[in-house]
Amino acid sequence: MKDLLEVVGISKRYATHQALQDVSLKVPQGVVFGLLGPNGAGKSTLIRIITQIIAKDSGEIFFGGTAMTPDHVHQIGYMPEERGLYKKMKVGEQLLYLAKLKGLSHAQAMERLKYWFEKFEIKAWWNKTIQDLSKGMQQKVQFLSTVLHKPSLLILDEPFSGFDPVNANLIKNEILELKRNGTTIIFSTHRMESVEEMCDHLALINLSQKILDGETSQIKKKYQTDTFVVEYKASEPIKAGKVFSVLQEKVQHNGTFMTLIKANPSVTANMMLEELLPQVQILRFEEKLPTINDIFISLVTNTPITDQFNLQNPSTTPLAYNHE
Amino acid sequence: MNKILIILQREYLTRVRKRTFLLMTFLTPVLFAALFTLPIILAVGLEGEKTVMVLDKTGKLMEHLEKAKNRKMKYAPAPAEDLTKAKKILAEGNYYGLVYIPVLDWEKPKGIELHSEKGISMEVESQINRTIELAIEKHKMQLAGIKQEDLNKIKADISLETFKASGEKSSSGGLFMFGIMGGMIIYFAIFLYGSQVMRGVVEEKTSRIIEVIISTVKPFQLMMGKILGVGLVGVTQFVLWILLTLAIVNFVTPLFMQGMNPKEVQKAINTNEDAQKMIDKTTQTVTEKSEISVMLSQVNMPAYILVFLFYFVFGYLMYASLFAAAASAVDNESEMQQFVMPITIPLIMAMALSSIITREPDGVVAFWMSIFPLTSPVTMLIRYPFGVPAWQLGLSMVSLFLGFIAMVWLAARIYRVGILMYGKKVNYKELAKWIFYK
Repeated sequence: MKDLLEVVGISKRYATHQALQDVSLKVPQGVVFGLLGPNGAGKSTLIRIITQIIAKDSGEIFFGGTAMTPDHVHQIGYMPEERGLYKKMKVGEQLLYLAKLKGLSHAQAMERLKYWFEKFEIKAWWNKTIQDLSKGMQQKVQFLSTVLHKPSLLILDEPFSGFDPVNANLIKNEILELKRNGTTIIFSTHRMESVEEMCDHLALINLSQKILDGETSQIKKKYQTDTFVVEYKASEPIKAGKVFSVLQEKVQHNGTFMTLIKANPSVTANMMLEELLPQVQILRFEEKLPTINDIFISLVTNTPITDQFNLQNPSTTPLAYNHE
Repeated sequence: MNKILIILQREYLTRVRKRTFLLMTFLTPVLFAALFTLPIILAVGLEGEKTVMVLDKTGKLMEHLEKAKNRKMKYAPAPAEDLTKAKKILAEGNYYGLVYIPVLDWEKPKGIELHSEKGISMEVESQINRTIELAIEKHKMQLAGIKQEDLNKIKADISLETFKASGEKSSSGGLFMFGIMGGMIIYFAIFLYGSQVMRGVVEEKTSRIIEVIISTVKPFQLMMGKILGVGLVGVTQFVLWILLTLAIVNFVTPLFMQGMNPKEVQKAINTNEDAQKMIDKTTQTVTEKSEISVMLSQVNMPAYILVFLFYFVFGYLMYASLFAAAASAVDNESEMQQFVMPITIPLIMAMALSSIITREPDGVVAFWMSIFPLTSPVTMLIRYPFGVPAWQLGLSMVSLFLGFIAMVWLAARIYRVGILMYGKKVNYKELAKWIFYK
């Protein structure tokens, strides 16, 4: 797969702290790429360097195989974390203006606008000012301004914050459609669970350094823990057996138990089931896959991933790790 | 299309289409026109004639008082013999006031009283005072046997005509007017439109659109587009102001005055001392080969306009970029003041010292202030009509141009960092650091 964007050894220092330290990344063409990490890790700095908002101290960026030039901004669509539009400007005029700044001619911009206004069914908004729109509507307009010029690289910083579920879904579908049409998309977020299902590739950034990157499926495979969740009915909770050990257990209110067991080396699920079946009545048996967040925390705290699993808190949405 | 041009277009159109712009543009000339014409209209239209009764115990002054021409003020003998009766009549309200003149010692005329039911304004009081003084003087002239014609012969009325060494006729009054006017316009334009640039920058910051824009254009392009756009708004507004003011003064006011008796208008103008002086001067100068045209010829209008444009354009650009930089460093308008003050000090200085400049247009202060780029747009325009050596003008222009380049560069360095900075109290040390950021 060809790389659309290649970042080589980027460093950036602000007056008081190092924002990025020798970060290198490859973003293949046509994938959804997750740029993940806690707040303050350096994601936004990296994005601002890619979008040429700020200058890098050292390192190189290649876009479509050539060294990045100022003209490349026309091929990038960027939605910053802090959304913003001219509040007193009319929707149509504003989008037209932003599209022209991205290098579209008036006619081209009008044509694209027409397409999107019909698609989103927002023709009635053309002459409304931004401040007359609801927050969700503003977000839609903001998204439009990002994709109007058909960028080959779309960068979305915290893409779903501020969207209500309906609009978030709409945008999600648009993003997937853009991807099918060949657009490369970078998501940047500290809420890793919100995007991991969409990301083909990802990179983890912490304390201004990249700590992990690669294809999502391979990362998950690599950090597989051979851990399983068993839910069952029994008079007492299961103990460690010949082929597995018990990590955690939880007594549920309706008299059932949930236990987290870890397979011994080269033990299959079948072998564990064979041992469990005579003892208890199994309600559920499922491999416990680490989330990106679990992997991330285990990497930065240097603890086993299985420490992150928590049966007591079944929402499986652990707090994002805070580096401070 | 060039990005600066696209930005300029937006900045221009959004401002020109605003309701406040239209309001300002059309109301200001009305105000200006009112300033010219209201005094006349007021004098003619609003106040009725007032009668002051005079209880003259000397028996000598009444005849002079009755002849006295005064704006809206008549003197009539009191229909009473003593003060108490006169006061009673005054209380009936038919008279505006009562002047009581006791028997006077002509050498030391003291003890004259003015009574009235309502309070009397300073202006009216001094007017009555002056009228009585004149009446006494006239009476004393008669006593001394001086005739009015003799006095008129003695009076001298000269108006000094000044010449430049080159032999051209010059008029320092006109030069003064010209210089101050040019300086003032630049001063106001910089403040008015500089602050609009500032507000625009803060708006982009607070609405957070700045990051979207900056991911597409260079900060410098955005800054210049904004400054130029607002500058054009200024030019548009000034041109409209001048045209509309002229139109109102020339066409609307006469219409308005048509309803009035022209004689009354003339009288009002005549009795209004300021207007009188102005008319005297203009009629006099118009007859004497038109002093205005002399003034114009000596100032060399085309050159003055060119000089004005040069200083206007570069002065505005320089200051506007400084304002933009200041605005970029803060999060909202209320924090802006701390940076605006120091920027505007040179400008305010230049205006405040304008009297020194006009008094001594070739003095040391005038020279240096017309060379220093932050003051020269105002100072040089004040100086220019008095005649500035070519080398000084050249030096000043080069200096302003270099100052402009330096300030725009400096401002752009600060601006590009500032617009992305939030939630930080910025001081000057910090600003200085930004200049050297990569």
